Amino acid sequence: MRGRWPHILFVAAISAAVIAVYFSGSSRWIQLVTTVLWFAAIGAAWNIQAGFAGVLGLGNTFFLAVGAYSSIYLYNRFGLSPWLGMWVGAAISVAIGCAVAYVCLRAGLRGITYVFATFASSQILLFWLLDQRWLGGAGGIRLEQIDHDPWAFRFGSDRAYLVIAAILLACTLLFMASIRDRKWGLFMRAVRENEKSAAMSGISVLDIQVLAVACSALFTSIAGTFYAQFQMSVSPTALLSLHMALNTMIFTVVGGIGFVFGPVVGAFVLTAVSEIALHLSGSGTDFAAVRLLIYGACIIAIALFLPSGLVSLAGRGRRQ
Amino acid sequence: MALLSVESLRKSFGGVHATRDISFEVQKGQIVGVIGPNGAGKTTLFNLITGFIRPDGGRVVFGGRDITGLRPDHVARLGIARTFQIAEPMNGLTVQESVRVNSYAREGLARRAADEVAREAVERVGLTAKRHVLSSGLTAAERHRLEFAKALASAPRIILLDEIAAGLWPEEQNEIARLIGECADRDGIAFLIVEHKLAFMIAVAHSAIVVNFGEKIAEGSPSQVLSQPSVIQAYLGSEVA
Repeated sequence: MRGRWPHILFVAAISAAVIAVYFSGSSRWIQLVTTVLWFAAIGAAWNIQAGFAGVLGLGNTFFLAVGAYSSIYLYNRFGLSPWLGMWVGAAISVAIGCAVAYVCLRAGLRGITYVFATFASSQILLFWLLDQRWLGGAGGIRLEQIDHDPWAFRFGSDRAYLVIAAILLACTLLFMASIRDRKWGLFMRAVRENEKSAAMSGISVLDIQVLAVACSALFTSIAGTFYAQFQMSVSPTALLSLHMALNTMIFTVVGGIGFVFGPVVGAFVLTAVSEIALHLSGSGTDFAAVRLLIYGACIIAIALFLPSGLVSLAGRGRRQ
Repeated sequence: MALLSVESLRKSFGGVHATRDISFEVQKGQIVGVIGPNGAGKTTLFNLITGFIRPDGGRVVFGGRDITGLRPDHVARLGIARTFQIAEPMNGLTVQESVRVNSYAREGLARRAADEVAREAVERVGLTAKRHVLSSGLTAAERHRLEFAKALASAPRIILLDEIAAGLWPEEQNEIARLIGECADRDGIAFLIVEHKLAFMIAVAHSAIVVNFGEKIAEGSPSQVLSQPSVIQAYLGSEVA
């Protein structure tokens, strides 16, 4: 347990905050923290491919959409519980994610070209969905308002969603923590550091990169299913926008890419900054720009002075 | 049967003949040097042997098996290790982790066994004290030793060293030379060494080949080849280290 105290304290602090919010009875706070936990979860999922394996894609919204649409559609059409439907979405996400990643990486796309290619794949899905009337087209699909039905992933109170979001995040982080020092996690990190050197170490680089994308797709897709149930609707423009694409990565980048807790730190801090900026700037639309300015300024400041992310504040030379 | 046999290897990039009909052999436990001026095609040769580049013609035979054109990771798993000249290979990993990556190149090793193999390799090169230091926190000499430990961890039958003595003080060079000799004599590991420091080469290598403009122009013991007129002419103007 040498050197583990910062991690334990961090988990304890976050858990305490979530528990406090759970019992707070404030609907606004509960929904806010649920959203933060969800952003941390999709950020953590992206961290598997980007932070561990160095595969910087911007197409994870594809998996969000697949996870969201498949669960809602299967429930509305066949009455299939989203708890099962989420695995259908996950399977589709993993299959297509692997295929796209394989083709792009094999072709040698890296860095900005890979970003464009993966983002383009999400836009292809967007345009396809806009045309599919059986999937609601531009309007998307809504869920009927029903009361408490856990098997249908519907809960009477907001608090249940808070708990599920926390569990989703915890599972993603536990997965990352468990593979990090094992063979596959180590291989991913070696590939991130240097592809040529990793190849000469006997690592099948492309296989490892695709594996990382598969893991990322799995967790992102499940988060997408959660999103659909939480929002009770899905629409292509909301899920597959550039804004959402940036949301899959910004919290991780700001918090600390490659660090297991990076996305959590990033999601909490950036959301806090956003909320504080909202208070400072007043609630009129005239001041909406000020809020964005403050938010943007914080991101720029972190990029300039803490390029390794906020986690690096916890001590120099922390291992990724 | 030779451990490594390079047969009539050819490679051109556009109009440039990087490698022209090069053939040589390396026996088990033998230390062979590859010398030649800059741009002679030495690194290309390494890239051809280890699968980073496909040759236009010729073969590479390792342990009786044709490995021409196999991918680098496949070549590595067959028992060929290679060090790189690059300064900072794996910054975000510690020394121990970096070496453990290579341990897994051996068949079916579990985590604990791989850790042990890595620990031994790290100790062999004298980096035990810095096992948990990030690779970025090492000196140049230590980075060379890390590369060497990585090579050892994969239980190779031959190690390709790319300018392992670059930037090292004489004492550090002696240490590496001693390590190479020990691995060859004790473990039967063969070495193919690209090196600009000719004094180092003479001290370490059993035999050497000289490459210029992609062609092998001489072969023999290091001191022998270095006194040949064609070799001296190829080196005209360059300094002996």
